Amino acid sequence: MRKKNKLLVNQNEKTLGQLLVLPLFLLVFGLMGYPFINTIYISLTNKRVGYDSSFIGFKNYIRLFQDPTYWMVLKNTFVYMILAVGVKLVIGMILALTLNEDFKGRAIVRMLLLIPWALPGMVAAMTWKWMYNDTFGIINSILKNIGLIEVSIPWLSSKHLTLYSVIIVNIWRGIPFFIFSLLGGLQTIDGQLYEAAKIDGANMIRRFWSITVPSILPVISITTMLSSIWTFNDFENIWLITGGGPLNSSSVVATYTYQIAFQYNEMAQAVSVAVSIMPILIVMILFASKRIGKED
Amino acid sequence: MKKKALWIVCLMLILVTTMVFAQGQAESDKPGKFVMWDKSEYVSAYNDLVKERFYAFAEAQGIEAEYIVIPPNDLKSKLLAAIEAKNTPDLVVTDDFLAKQFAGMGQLVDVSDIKNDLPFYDAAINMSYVKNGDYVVPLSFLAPGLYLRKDKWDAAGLDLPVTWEDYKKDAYLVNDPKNDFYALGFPMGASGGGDAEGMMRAIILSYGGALVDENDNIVVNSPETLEALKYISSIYLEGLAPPSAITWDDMGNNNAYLAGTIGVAMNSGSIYSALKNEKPELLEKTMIRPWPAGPAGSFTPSGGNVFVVFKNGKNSDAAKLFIRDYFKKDFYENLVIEMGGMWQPVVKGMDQNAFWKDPTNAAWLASSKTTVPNTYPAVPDENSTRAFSEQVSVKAVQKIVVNGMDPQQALDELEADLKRIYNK
Repeated sequence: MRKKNKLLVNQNEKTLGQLLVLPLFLLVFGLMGYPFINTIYISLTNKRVGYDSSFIGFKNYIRLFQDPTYWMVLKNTFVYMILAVGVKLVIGMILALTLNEDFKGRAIVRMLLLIPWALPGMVAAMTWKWMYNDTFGIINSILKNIGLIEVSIPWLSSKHLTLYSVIIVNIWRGIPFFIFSLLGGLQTIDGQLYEAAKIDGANMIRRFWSITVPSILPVISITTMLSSIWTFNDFENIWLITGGGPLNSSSVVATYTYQIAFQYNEMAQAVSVAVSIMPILIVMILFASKRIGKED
Repeated sequence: MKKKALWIVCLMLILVTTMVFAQGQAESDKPGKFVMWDKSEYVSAYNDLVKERFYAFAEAQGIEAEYIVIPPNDLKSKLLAAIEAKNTPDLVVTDDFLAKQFAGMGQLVDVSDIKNDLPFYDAAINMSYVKNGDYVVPLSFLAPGLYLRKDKWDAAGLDLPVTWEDYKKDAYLVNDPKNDFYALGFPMGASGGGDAEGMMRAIILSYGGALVDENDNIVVNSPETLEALKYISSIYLEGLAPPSAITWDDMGNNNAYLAGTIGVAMNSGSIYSALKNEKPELLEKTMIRPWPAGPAGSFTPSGGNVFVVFKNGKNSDAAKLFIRDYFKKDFYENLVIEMGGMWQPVVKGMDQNAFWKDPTNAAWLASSKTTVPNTYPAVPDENSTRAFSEQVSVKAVQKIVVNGMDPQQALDELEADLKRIYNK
């Protein structure tokens, strides 16, 4: 009898728990689940803003996968992400190691290094656009003054350069996140480990690879993964500097989606671009969540 | 315990649902704010003056109002988003080609009452004409001019150029890229603005070509249009324009001309207005010329600013009343003058001020009455204005310049783009 009562109480608690979670579930479904399902549905229609739509199956995806521009944009997105995150990691690590040492004016240097991250994106993008200008930009002017070039470099109009020009801006803006995340990790390493390694004859490089990197590996992987997701979805930086041009040579998935949706008013086609990269983002998010979960 | 908790959860859900619906009901019962979206203008005084007038009007009417300034390049995307969200503003000021696209989409309120009552010039009626009805109220002309650095042409011992070919021939002598000076500041960026596409259309017409005729036939694939494409792409391929011109937005040529880095710019009076106020020394070296001619003559396609009232707005009547208030002589006449020649009036009787007797301003005024619509010879409708706002001919030139595409192939792709838009 007592056992039966206990089972009943457990069952009651379980039901109560489920009921209390229900509003949250409904809220999450309303805010995320429904829009997600609706997005997938729209990608299967011929939706254009201001017009009725009808179901057309996978036609948008077929058209998309046959479009060479889509593949170019996807390639740009990966080049943008891999190059930007890779360089941010390397430079961020070097600067974090430097800032981890004691030197005069360290506090001021730390503060200055935060500026690129603290600046509003719009201000940063406009400033860089101005600096890249081929007739009155400061970058070309300096290169000419020191005799490296005779004619200005078309940073924002050559299809071979534009993507790299916006990658440089992304790196400049994103380095502080790496510096301060990695610095946080470096400060948790016990100094005695380095002392012991020194006594054992380990040189600086050996100490870095055998002590520093393994100790902050979780921080490196989370920082890299979060930055990869943000960089993959970057819009503001590219849109404000090049608009994805010329001829999509600096377009990434986010700018390309916007262009199709709002310049061509092909909403369903644009949504299909966004949906097509979801599997990649889901894998990245799962990996990051798993890592963060492990850390907790 | 279980029952009690169930009741609490159910009550909470009912309460929240009731509150949400009650709020929604209350919102839909209200007349709603009178919302106006206006373009951010090159002359900042414009937005201040209209804002003041708008709020004074709303106060007199006893309605709550909001005046929002939006950069022209963002207006289309924001309006599309607003239409989708069924939350359009009541009144919008925009470029005529964009307004005509929304008219074609059936999003606008008929404004024939305003157009019949106010004494608009015939050219203004033509500028705001759209095939499917009276949905667009003309607001101002934006007559274009060609700014030329007379000092540079004089220094090279050149006569004033007249034809497109003259400009190219002279450019070889004026061009000085090593010192960051380029002869021709022809914009060719696909930024969503109208400058580059307008110029491209002018060149194609001057060479005897056209994109679409007055009966909606796609006639772009002709030897004349091919010649026009070859001409304009050669300007960039031969380095006679700044490399960045291929990505300029509508401010690109303004900035470059004011920075003294280009010899020629085609624009409305915005450059003139800035030169007069900020760089009078550069204005002295500048000459304003008519648009160049080609083998088939000279064409100056142009548009203007217009008002449109959105049918899903909640204050259509107030919007129409405000349009009438806007055109009252005490406000409109001064507003146009405040733009410093960049705008020209669309309503008769507003050009009697001494300002318009000045030779330069008189030239802008005269020019405003002789331009052809941006989509000429195609009839302004949803398709022709969509083709204009998608900048199809600019993209054809970009393909030749940036991707090294053969001009005939670029022309074939331009034809395919038009067929896609016209569903042919």
